[in-house]
Amino acid sequence: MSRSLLADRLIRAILALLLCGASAASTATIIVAGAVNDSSTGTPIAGADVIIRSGATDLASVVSDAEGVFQLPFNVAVRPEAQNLALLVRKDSFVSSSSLIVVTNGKANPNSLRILLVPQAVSDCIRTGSRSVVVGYFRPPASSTVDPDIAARVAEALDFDLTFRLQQQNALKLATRPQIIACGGAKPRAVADYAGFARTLKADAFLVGSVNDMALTKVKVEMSVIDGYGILPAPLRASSREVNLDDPSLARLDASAHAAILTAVAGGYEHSRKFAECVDVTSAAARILGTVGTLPPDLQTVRSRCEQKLPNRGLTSGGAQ
Amino acid sequence: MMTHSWRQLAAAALLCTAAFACFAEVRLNVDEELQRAEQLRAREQERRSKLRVNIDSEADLGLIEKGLRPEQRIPNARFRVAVFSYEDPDGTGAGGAFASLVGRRVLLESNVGSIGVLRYEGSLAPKPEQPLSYFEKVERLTDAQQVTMAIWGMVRVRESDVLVDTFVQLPTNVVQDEFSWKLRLPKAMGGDTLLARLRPARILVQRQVLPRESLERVRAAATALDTLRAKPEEGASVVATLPIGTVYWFSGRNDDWVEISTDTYKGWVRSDGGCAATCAQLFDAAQFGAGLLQFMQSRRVPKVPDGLQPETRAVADQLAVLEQLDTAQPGRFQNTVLRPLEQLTQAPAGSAAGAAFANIRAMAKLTTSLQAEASKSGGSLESVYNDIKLPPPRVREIAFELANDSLADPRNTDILSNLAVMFRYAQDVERANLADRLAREATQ
Repeated sequence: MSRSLLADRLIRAILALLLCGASAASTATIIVAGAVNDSSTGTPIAGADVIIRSGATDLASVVSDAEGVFQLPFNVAVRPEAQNLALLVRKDSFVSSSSLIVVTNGKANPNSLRILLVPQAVSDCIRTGSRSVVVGYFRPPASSTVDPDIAARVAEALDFDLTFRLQQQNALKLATRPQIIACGGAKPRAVADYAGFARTLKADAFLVGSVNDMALTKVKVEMSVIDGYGILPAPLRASSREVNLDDPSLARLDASAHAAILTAVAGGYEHSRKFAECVDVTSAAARILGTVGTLPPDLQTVRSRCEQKLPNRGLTSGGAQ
Repeated sequence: MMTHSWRQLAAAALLCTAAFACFAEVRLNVDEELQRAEQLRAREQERRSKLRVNIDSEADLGLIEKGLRPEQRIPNARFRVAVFSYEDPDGTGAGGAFASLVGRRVLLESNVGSIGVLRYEGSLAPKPEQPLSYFEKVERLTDAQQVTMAIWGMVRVRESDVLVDTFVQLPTNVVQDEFSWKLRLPKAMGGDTLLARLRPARILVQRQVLPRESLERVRAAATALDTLRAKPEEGASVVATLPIGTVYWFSGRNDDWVEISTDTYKGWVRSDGGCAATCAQLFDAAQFGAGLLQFMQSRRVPKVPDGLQPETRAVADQLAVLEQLDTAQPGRFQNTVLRPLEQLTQAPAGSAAGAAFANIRAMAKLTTSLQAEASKSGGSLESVYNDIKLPPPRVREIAFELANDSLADPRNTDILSNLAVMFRYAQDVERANLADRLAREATQ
């Protein structure tokens, strides 16, 4: 072996040792902790796969426990510049979730997360960018041997009914009118779950209920209505008699149902800071319900708040200048 | 002096036409012929002045679906009113009957020079092949025919009663042409124009409650309206039944019977179809609609019979005040315009017309101020008008009052545009720009 070749090998060995030492010295073990829950009911989800990923490489994984809780340790090089990692959470019959974890100087931000998984059964019902009324599960009569998709029929009835009434009042432009969406898979197990479903579905109003004897041409439809913003202190109950669900285009729901839904829709406009539309829809509601001058209390509360926030206030003498 | 019957002349004309060349002479008295021509013209005008045609709405909708425009019905009538079978979700079978009764009444009571009623028959309920809502179909047909007014409604069953809603709708262009008022500011104030348009343009005229058993009488009355009899008597032989698509007109009257003619036959019907008691209230709704047509012709404010919905009163009040705005003498302005407006602007939240009154009041206050300034100069209003300059703080004060009252109707473009004009004159640029922006957003 020539002298120069020996020297070259020696230099390489020293360099390799130096590199290994540097790597060992700058690696940190990080633990990201959290809990996985059903977004609509808040129920803990056990057995969810939680994976931390850098680009296409999985760094580590863990499974959530019976309480939905997980602790995920993983090693990552300590660097001053930010490294973007993805925390993936997967579970059958839920939509997978991905959260950004930023690691800088060996510290993760965030290092504690609450992951809310959306049930696959309702994920198609979520609309963004427009006002929406989502009709969830409606329980068929006990005597019924089949489970017809009553939600679709109630939604169709409501679409014809409520849209017609808003049109009668010339209220709201077509593009800003609420969409009515059937979502029979949105099946809360308890009243306490209603609001969670409304939030998960990004719905202004979320309806669930029951129908009596399906053998009859005209049925009684019982429904509970909750909004997605906490405006209604508790679900509003409404009962509509003699509803023809066989021909939803002709079905008409009771005024109490309209009042509850329109209150939630007005709240949706308020939530999206469309205060003029909010005032308009309360005016239309007053005329639809025949209560001009004496709005139902919840509706009046929403209207008053929206009036206070109208950009038109800037035109008044007390308006901000 | 020779006289000729019209029949002889018609025969001669026919002969001439048939022979392609006519060599005939007839001596005529000029005065008599002029008189006869005038009678004929008047009769023809009368004959053609009140026309009605029954139309199959599905056929017209089918054409619209294909991108075709349906034939313009009764195109030469000055006022053309579309009347649609009322929506009938509970299947009472009376939706068409209510429309027939209202449509016929409008035709009879309008007292306008030239009217055509387009009575759309058939259900407008959504169907799988035509999923549009009732209202969307009404809008399409109304737009396609470019009518002056549309009348439509809904029949609902409520236990032992039926609830009958009747609506009148004025198209945007009609509101613009016939139901809007403008105040042009003097040139010294910039010469901009303030605008007030009637609101609402879609008016719930009546909400009538009838016992369920009266539906049979309503249906029978509607049938009677289309059943022509040989004489103006109950029990007289039936000549014909008016078919769909036939234009007819009134050719005579005998107490409460009217003679109806078509191009091929004529006969008598009772003007109310024999449903006076049950239909009396319904006819009030028709009378209001007819009153709006009369207003277009003569600026006479429609009467509002008791029992109609508050929106009709709001409409009539606006028309009354706006007419006064046009015609009241300066000295009478306070009593005839401003005082009534003070009450009218107190409309409760949710009212369809509350802010509209506030808009009119602002225009009225400006008018009063302009009149006062003119009287100070000693000249007539017309001669000094363009030189008048109101104090900007006064205009700003009026604008503030309007801005405050308009919060109940935040997307009223008339109000927002007027506020922009007023604030601009008052040199409040920031508020003027805000009003402009909000007006633009409201129309998008």
